[in-house]
Amino acid sequence: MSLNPAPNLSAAMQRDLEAIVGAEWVRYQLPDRLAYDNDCWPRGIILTRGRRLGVHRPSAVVQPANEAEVVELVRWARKTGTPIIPFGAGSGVCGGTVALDERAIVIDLKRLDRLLEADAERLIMRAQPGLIGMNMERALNYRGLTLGHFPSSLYCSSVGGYLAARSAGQYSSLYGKIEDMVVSMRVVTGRADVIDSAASVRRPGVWEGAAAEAMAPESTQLFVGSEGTLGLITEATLRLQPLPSRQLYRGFQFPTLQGALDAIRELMQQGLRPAVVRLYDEFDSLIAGSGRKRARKANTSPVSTVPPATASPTPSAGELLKGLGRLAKRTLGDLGVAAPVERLVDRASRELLSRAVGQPLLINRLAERVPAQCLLVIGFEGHNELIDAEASFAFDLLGRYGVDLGEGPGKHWLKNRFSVSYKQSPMFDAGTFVDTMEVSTTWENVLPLYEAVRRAVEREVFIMAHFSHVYAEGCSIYFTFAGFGSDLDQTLRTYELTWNRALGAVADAGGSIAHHHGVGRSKAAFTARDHRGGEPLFKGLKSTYDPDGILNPSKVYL
Amino acid sequence: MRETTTLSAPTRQHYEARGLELPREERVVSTSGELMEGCRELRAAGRPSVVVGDGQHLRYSPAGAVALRTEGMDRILSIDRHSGLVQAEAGVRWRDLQDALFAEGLSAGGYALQPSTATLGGLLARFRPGPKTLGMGSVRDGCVALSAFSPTSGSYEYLAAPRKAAGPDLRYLFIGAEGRNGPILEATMVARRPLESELLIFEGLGLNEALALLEAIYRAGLRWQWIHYVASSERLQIALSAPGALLRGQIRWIEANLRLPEAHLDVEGLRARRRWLEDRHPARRAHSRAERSSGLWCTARALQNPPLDRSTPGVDDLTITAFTPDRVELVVEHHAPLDVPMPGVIARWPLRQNLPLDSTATTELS
Ligand SMILES: Cc1cc2nc3c(=O)[nH]c(=O)nc-3n(C[C@H](O)[C@H](O)[C@H](O)COP(=O)(O)OP(=O)(O)OC[C@H]3O[C@@H](n4cnc5c(N)ncnc54)[C@H](O)[C@@H]3O)c2cc1C
Ligand SMILES: Cc1cc2nc3c(=O)[nH]c(=O)nc-3n(C[C@H](O)[C@H](O)[C@H](O)COP(=O)(O)OP(=O)(O)OC[C@H]3O[C@@H](n4cnc5c(N)ncnc54)[C@H](O)[C@@H]3O)c2cc1C
Repeated sequence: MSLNPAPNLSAAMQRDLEAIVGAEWVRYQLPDRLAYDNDCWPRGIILTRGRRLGVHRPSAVVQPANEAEVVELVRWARKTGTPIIPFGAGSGVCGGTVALDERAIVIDLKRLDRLLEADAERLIMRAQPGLIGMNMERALNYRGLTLGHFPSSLYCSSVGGYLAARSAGQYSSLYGKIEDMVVSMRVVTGRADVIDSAASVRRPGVWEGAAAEAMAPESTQLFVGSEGTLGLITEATLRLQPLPSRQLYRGFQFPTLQGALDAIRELMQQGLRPAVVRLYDEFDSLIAGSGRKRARKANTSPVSTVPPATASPTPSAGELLKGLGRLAKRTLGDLGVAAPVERLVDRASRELLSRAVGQPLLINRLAERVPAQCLLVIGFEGHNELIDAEASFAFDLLGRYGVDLGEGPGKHWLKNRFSVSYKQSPMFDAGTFVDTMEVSTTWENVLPLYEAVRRAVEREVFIMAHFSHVYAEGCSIYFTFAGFGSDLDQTLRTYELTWNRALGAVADAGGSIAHHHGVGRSKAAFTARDHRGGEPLFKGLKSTYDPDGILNPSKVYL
Repeated sequence: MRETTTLSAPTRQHYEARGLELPREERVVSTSGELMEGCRELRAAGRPSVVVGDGQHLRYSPAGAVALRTEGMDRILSIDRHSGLVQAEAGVRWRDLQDALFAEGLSAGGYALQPSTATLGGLLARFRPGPKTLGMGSVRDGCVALSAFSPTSGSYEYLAAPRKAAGPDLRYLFIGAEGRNGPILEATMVARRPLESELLIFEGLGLNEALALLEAIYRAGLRWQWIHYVASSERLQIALSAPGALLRGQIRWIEANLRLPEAHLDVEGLRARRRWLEDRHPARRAHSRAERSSGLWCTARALQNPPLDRSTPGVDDLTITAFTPDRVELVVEHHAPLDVPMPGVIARWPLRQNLPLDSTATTELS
């Protein structure tokens, strides 16, 4: 690949863009464009580690400073028929920001990064879309406030990205998902109109253009989750909460997944409002054991179980490796073949990992034989003794179903909840991939769906899950899977087969294909399974807000 | 399907009691299929139509249109006790839904007060601008799934799974759309387990005191089932519900830290009081004073500075039905136009609007 390939944009187009945002905020150089070749979509990481670069590179990356420049950029894109890809922080894991057309430009909104207002009286904030979650939270905390939105990617994701992808934070049981927090948004549509969804039903504050007439009545909830296909979010108003002063965390261990799920359902249907609920299945709990020694050292828990050391959607190579090694030791030990496996375990770590992950069916089946336990981390946050009472009521209830492990596991999780691993590259180099799939369903369907997905992909990948984001009527299941291919093409084949089978199993079992990562490119073929008959409705929205089809084409729906 | 071209006396009465102009024709549908067929046919014939639930909150005048009345679509389709879900047709009345759940050992008590005769479809489709309000009893937030019909795009079904992130939430093409994008056919709602409940009744509270009390309870992290405050009687009622031990703790906390209620009602009393209020709430077109009432959303401060209370010229009474620090929802009864300056008003609208069917409705905005 040439380091300076001819740009896709004509000189005249380059001049146009520079006239809008200033020359220093338009980038055409190959390294810059390659940097936007992928977000955190593992398929892109597989391609990159396989040295197949630039598959999705845009023609330019443009960084506007304000809403007016965004409007001008959209106007220009309409005129020239150029596809636009809105870009927040690029932490999306579904390929929502990848360019599928080499003419596409990325509009990176990170320069719009101001917290415009934080009103402690009305408990409302206004922010620009490029504001990074952690910066926002720090500024709010300073004022005694919180948004209550804590995705594990808090350090590397933006307000606009949360809204565009319907994100969920770790405390969603208490504060809700981002769609529960948003009051209104300002959005630049594909017509280059500005819509203020706060200006209300039927009389939206449309400054220019014809979109007012066709404006959907509840536009806020339609723009949330639209992943840049209906407009670019340029400002958001969100509900805040007073910063809690008390935190109560615990761990519980349950002999079966069913028992643990029953306990959680009971809790939620009794109207309790825990901040955090994370239940790890037997395999995820086993993988979690790598933190065991640390927990013992800290002497926080009488029992050794601790949750996974990271809250990342993908465990780190080391973690997964240790976990799989331990699993292999234990399970094969049960079958009387411990010694060779132990030798294997002691061999070079990467090689072992590849081998382990290269035998998914064996590992999955063996893992099912392990008499393991499920670990639950639960936390309550509040302001006064009322929360103490609620927490102890919940702990008593859980204690009837499982074993109370004390504060240790909860504290451990709390401390490490943002220790996200971005360094999976050694695994990917070895031909291994890791990805995650977050789905949701109602309580009676949780275990059948969980089993259906495991069965669907057990030959392709090693699979484990945790259950978080719980509601009175159901919860989300967060699958993590690891697979292996001997070369890039085989890895890609296994990767794609796994996703197709897994999403097919979810949809067939009546679950939703996405709970909080959005759809992006990777799940777009399955969106209609969540919205039967939804495609023509979506097309109707597109013709209202993006009649030229320039906004993030072929995302959400193919 | 029952069709009426010459409207019968009871039918005329239905519209007149609500201050509505008469439709050209009325059809009472009893299945989703009939409703879809009616929509298709009327569209093909280029005839305007209005979907009518109980007709308590129609804003568009049915004059000259065919009214498609949904009350015949009143079946409870399924109750899933394990997941706590009820699926019902859109014409089911609120009171009937509550009774059906009660008979199954479930409850709709977690929802805010709604008019007893309102239909499920009407509650979801009615005009109600504004954000979600998690944990505050909104019917919309309790809606897990729905099916609807768009005359232009066909049937639509949103899967029954919690909090999806599979693209835009297309339900919101129908929720709050007042039937203008097509009818809602069925909905799946969260149905809670009945918990211990208690109604706290505070007497002699001026508007500011009532707002301050609500704010303090909200900021303490407590969430009520519903509230009701009437300025003329200076009475604030707060319904709380929780497992017994917790509920008693919550009440003790309010009494010790905020204020002693003048009276308590237990779960039976609370249910009866709820029914009474739901039968009589002013936010209904059929209410005797609906002609002189407006729905109003504003910040708590907007009510204080300059004061909007019973001393405001032209104002007879105020009823608060929902509260969060950013937004108080109330019904204001007034005998003169409400033209006091009100910075902080989010939206206000007369309860009895008769907007032309082909118009784009407006909300008065500050
Ligand atoms: C380590 C890690 C942990 C994660 N943990 C979580 C988690 O706990 N919870 C969770 O919900 N997600 C999680 N994610 C996924 C990701 O962080 C979320 O999807 C997040 O919402 C994306 O935000 P972003 O700013 O990075 O958006 P991007 O990746 O830049 O964009 C995501 C989508 O939104 C669109 N978009 C971005 N900004 C705008 C805008 N202003 N207007 C219109 N469209 C826009 C893009 O076009 C794209 O389609 C995690 C990801 C990683 C890598
Ligand atoms: C305490 C309280 C608070 C209230 N607060 C509010 C409030 O904040 N805002 C407010 O607007 N009302 C409010 N109301 C009024 C009340 O909610 C409405 O009267 C009720 O929702 C209307 O139900 P209905 O069956 O009478 O619907 P209708 O009046 O028949 O219909 C309402 C709207 O929905 C449409 N519609 C009806 N059924 C369907 C269907 N199946 N599919 C699609 N569209 C349909 C109609 O065309 C109409 O536009 C409140 C009432 C009470 C008691």
